[in-house]
Amino acid sequence: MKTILKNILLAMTLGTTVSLSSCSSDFMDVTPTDQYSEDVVFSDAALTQSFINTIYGYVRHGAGEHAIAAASDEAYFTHNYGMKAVNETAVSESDLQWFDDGNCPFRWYDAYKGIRYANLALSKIDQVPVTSGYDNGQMKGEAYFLRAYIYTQLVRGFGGVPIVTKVYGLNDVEEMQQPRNNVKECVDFILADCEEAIKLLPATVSDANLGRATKGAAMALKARVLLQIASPLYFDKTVNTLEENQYNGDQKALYTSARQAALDVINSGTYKLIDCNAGTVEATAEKFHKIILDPNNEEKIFTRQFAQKGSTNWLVLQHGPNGYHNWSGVTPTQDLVQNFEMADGTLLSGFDKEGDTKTVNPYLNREPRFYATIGFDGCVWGRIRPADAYPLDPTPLGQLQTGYYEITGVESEVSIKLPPSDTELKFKGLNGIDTRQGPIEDWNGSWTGYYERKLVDTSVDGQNYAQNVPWTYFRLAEMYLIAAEASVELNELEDAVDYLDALRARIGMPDTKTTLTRRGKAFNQAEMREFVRHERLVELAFEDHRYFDVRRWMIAPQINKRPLTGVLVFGRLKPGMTQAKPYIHSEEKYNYTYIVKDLSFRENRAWDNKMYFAPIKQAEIRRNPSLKQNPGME
Amino acid sequence: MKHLLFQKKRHGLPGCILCMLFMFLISTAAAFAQNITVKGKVVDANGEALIGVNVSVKGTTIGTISDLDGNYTLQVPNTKSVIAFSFIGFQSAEVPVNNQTTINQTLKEDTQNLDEVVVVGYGVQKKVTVTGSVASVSGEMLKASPTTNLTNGMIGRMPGVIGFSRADEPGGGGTTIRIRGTNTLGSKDPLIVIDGVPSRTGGLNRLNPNEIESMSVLKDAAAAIYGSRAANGVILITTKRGKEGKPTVSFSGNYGFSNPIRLPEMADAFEYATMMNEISPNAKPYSDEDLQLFKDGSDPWGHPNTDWYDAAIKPSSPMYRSDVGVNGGSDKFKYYLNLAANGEDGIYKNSANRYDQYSMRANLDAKVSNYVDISFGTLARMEYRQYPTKSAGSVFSALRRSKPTLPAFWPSGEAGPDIEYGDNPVVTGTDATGYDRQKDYYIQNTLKVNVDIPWVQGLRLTGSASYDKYFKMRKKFDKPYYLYSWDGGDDHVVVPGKRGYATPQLTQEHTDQTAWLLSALADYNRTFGDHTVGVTVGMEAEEKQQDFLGAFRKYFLSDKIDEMNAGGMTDLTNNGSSWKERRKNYFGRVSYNYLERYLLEFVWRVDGSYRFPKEKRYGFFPGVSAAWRVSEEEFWKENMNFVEYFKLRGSVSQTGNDALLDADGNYDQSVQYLNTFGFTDSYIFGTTENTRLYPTRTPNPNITWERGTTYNLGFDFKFLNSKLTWESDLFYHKRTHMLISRNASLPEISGITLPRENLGEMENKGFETMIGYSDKIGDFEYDLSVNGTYAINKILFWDETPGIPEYKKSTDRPVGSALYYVSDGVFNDQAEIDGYPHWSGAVPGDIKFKDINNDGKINADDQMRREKNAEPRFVGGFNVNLRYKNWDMMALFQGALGAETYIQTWSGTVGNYLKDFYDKRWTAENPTVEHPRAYERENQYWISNRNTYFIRSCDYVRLKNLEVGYNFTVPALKTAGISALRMYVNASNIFTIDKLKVADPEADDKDITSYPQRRVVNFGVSLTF
Repeated sequence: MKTILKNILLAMTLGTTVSLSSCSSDFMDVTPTDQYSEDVVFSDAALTQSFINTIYGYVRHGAGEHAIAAASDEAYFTHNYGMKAVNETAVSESDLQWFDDGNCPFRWYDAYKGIRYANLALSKIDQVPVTSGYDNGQMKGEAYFLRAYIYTQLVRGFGGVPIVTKVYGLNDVEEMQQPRNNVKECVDFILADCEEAIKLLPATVSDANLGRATKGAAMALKARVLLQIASPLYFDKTVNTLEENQYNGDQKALYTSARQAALDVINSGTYKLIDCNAGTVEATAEKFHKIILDPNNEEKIFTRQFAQKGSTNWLVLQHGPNGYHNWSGVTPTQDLVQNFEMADGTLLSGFDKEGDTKTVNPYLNREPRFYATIGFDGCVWGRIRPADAYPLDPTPLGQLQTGYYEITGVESEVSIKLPPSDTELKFKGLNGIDTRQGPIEDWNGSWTGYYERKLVDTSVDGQNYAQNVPWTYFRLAEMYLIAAEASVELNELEDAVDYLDALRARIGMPDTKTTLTRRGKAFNQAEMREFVRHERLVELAFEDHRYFDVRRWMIAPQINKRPLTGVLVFGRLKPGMTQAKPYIHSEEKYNYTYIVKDLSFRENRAWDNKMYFAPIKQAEIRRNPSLKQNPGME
Repeated sequence: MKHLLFQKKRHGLPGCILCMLFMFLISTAAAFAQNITVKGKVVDANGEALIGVNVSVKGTTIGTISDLDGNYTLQVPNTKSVIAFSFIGFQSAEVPVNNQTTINQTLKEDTQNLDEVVVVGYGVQKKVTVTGSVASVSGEMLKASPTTNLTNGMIGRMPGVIGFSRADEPGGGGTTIRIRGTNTLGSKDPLIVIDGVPSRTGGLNRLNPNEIESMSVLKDAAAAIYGSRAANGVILITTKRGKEGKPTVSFSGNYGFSNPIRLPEMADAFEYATMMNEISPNAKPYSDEDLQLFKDGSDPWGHPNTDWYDAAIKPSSPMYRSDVGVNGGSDKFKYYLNLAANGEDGIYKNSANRYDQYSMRANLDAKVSNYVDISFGTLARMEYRQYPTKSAGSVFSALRRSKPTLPAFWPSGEAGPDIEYGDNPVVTGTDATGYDRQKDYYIQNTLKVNVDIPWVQGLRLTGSASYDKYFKMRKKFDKPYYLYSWDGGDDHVVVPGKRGYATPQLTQEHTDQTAWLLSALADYNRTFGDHTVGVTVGMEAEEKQQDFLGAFRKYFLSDKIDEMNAGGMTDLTNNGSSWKERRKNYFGRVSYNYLERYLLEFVWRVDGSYRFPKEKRYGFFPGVSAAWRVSEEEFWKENMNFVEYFKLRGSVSQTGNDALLDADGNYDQSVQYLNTFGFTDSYIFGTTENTRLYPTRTPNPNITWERGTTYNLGFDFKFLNSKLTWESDLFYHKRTHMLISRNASLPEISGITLPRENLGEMENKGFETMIGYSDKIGDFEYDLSVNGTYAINKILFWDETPGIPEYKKSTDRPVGSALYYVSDGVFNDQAEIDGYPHWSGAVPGDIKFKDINNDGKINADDQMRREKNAEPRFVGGFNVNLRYKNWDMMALFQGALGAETYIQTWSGTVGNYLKDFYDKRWTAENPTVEHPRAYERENQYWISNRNTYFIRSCDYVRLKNLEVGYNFTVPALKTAGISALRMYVNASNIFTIDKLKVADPEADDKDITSYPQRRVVNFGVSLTF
């Protein structure tokens, strides 16, 4: 008995030793149950495609709360988030403010992450087996295009940046110490990527693939980056003092290529300007607005699609009025409102400085794009008010109330300070629901007295639902404007007129020459330059262009220094008229007064030449001392 | 047979261990004859029978326990045997049998308590022979804290245990425990071992203190036997087991009330309106008339003055706990069974927040033969958490922000408006918005077999297996609800407004977790004359695996049916995920002592972790400790006999860590050496969601164990017939190869997503001490003890951006110390602004920031890193236990020093201000030099840029716990079969002395939006039959 037990014990000891050493390897090799290995990913076309989809996420769309429109004269961002510092030039390498915000379209960190993924895709894609239903060439084209797009954003934001083409490993620390390439090297690199993309990408994609890059997208990118680099900023050497940000070459050639690239898109036959003419200005405006809101149409070249879940677009909540429980984030400035033409092509005068007053509704008889872009006092917003606001505005589609109104038979008093001398005006009445004194979430009210409409589907209940509106990276109108601008710079004015008239005709606006005449302007290069720049501002408002445009044209010192202004609206009852609650806009009952107010106490807009190029964060330069900072940002 | 059993490698490790268990069971067959029967009675010095005394034959495992009358019967092998009597609290005695058949024994009370034992890793040790730093507390002490979270009663009771209780929501809450402070930049949590099983899901918080026999905290080499996961210390929990004797039924019932101990005092309507006028001097929103109406309250419709906390929070909320247990058994079979239920209500009025828990624990011990015993333990517990659909953070944020100028309820009774998102907290704390219900089920089983090898005296083999299941079901139903607005008319009509989601929506989630652990242990303990040797060797293998499944639908037609199939088909979602982890370890201990005077111990562990590549997978973690009982030496006894006990202890040990934390501080299961792609949020092409795969990280093929080295030096003293005890430890912990990322030094142009690397070093050092005094004066017995722990840590090296100035560096500073501008008072006038470097646009009443680098401008280079942070440096406790006749009293004072917090509320048009701020603020009429002007959101640079003005000290002392009890000794009870009856009152968080005032000093709450700490007053009765 004893011996048997002893043997068993011995067996146990031995067995344990043997089994533990042998069991060890398989037991401890745990493969994550929710991940694929890199080898698996690049041996399967479907998984590779899924990886390519990831790179799209690094192409920053502009449908964000702290959108770049608020960093120029287009708009004001109500809630700061570092935007105030940008407009007041209070940024430096140690304090990036909004430049380090996820909404900044050229944030360094995100951009280089996207570039790494594109580089990885390009280095692996040739080994992916050909599989029916997947087009490896197209995937490669997408990677080229996405990389070019991200580099374009970097160049627009920072100037020349390091061109990284390698997928760095953890130990390549020395190699990572890359200096900045100059803008010429950057643009050449981008153009080469675009060429590859154009070769590989299809002309169009199926509805299910809407949002993927096409040949047209790559061609449009070429036109955009060429026009950017052809612009005065890169040929200046007095303000733009950093060598990496200067272009030493033939400016004319750049303009010529930019125009050619734009024309290639226009003439490709894939896209068409949508005719918005529809009898009334309102109907025309609505068609124009639809160009932006539609998931797809003939004018769109490259878009980011959204849905109720997955990738969502919350712009209604973020930019819509507080009277709908929205946040009024990015609101149009008085300057932008002023820039929209009257229906006959002339410009509204005497309404752009603090204290300028109108007693006739300045929002009547404006061009269609104004109505598609701006929400103003008394305009129909597009959705019934939420229950708590409905008693104050029972109109079926809601009217914006950004003013202060006299009402008969109420106790409450309106008290407003009139610019410019702050004299106080008091009368019995109501503060509009969408003002900063309104009854609903007043801290979210618009300071400027306007709301952004262009990117917003006003029929959506923004507080609870995202909107199914895409972000449009490229649409055909921009190509016409590129061709027009390049033609003006090449002093081929008649060509420019053709491209501009195409855009004006489709919304029923008088042609360029007539308009110039009506404004009392001559038909020469200087006036045409002004004209095309103005056209670009109103056509492309809120589409992420103005920030870059004022810099590349070097008009930022004048534009960005202008004091931030908004409008104050109040309505007094005409003699003999009465209006009980609720208030409804009525030209018949009310005399309305519109006064430009100064909002410098909110944001004291300024300009410093250092702001031509964004700061690279200090820590990045400390990590990589061969990287030069942009002038003035130290 | 050997061949058959071990050739099947495919079974892997679990199979191997099962084989071993099987072997143990086979060996139980042995049985040996016995030939002499000895009987007797064991009594104390007063002649009272002693129940449960261990009576054994020395040098064998033959033994029994004295019965209710103190009698025992023992089969003794032969007349040369020696019978040993041992009983906790009494001196042991040994009597040779010779020819006696009746041996009566009187045991003397042991004032030195030398046989006191403590639970250590994989065993139990006599306290006198412990060489490491071990603190322990009995379940009895923990029971005196009337709290649903076990951890809330731990701080201040044991030296070396530091902690802070951040929030106390029923169902959540709990105290963050740090053994000797912070040792690493990674995971800082200690290892929790419950009945021998490490890291059991469910952890410490919800354990029933009634079921706990003891809790031990291992802090130095003593912890090293748990190796890899012990770097942050180990907490061992042992649950109660059956005691021999007739069945004893016990019952305890508790009913108590809780209320928040500190809610911030906010500005009232007049004060708020005054500040609103101050922040918009250009467009004052309130006239003098308005201010007057807010002040006099004569217009409750138009000018209300609301105290939101009053409106939403109950004066007190009930809670209860009851336990019914039975235990008893024979020398062959013992049982312990306890059923428990407890629950508590949230603090909101009509609260949708509630926590309930039901549990059962059964611990069984069977002696199969003289050489084999089996013990089995099982726990079944359900935790039922009910929450409103809005989180506590959202409710308390709305409470803190809601404007006093708006009504919580209209005078006519309807709920008033929201601050935003429908967040009127008098509604969102209730079930009007739907519900969020979570049920957690735990089933934890442990089976253990001990085999004493009869032919090798002192050798015991133990095999154990545990199998735990955990399920979690969550159901969250959001439905629309109504808030009311007044149209402003004189007839006071209020209009309902639908808030929340337009249609009801339902989320359901299901988690299923399985964990098993197998272990085998050989233990050899034997005394040879004056030499005692102990050897323990063991191994463990374990696996934990979890599956998750979730589903979501919206567009329910009605809120009457809250089942998934009643939801709409549009935009429905489902998702699932899983993970698995595996570990394998070998460990052991060798101990030796000579006359229990010179003690030496060596522990080691080899750990394997699935997180590391094959060649880096195993880590070896040794620990060595030694102790010298100086008081046993002749020279001491002759010269220093007033100190009857003095022991010196010292240890050096290494421990490891493989736990990773993600950026949000959550546990991260990822395997960092693999080059893998994971899923991220989808991307829309067309109208459909497309999956996206991304490289989760650039792999680190070299990743391996994080290592901690602990040096410990301690001593234990007993004076004055052991009335006065003093123990102290000095410690130094150095952590190397920390598992962190190299974010700061790798250029971002690389685009690399960094893996964890074995980077960085830090140290943590300090001391802990405990002094106790106990005595009695007549019938008055008292027991006082003070303990304290001081720990300070410092990052010695890690990845920091090159070239940053010294004053901004985190290296050489404690973990978690943040950057702040340094405030230097307030600008009183324009002249002062002009004469001082300032932020552009500064106006009088703004905070001055110091120009730290003297470059004439204020920018990010003027931020300085603090030396302190939100974790206390020193934690102390003062325990008082008093007994007088039938009365007893227990009190715990707890205090902490050295932590600080950042208190700054989001205020202005978006929310109310603290009353404290109103009282102190700068105004043009009343300029002070200390405090800034009224601010609007983050528009002021001194709000959006964190600065030292808002930092406040969190030092405090509080009476954490008090219990007073009475034991009834009425003879009538005995006749009714009740052997003991006790009634008591206990309370927690009775009072606090601190400087913070506006928030709780234990909370880390910059915006004062977390669930507050609560005071509990509880009444209880316990009965034993």
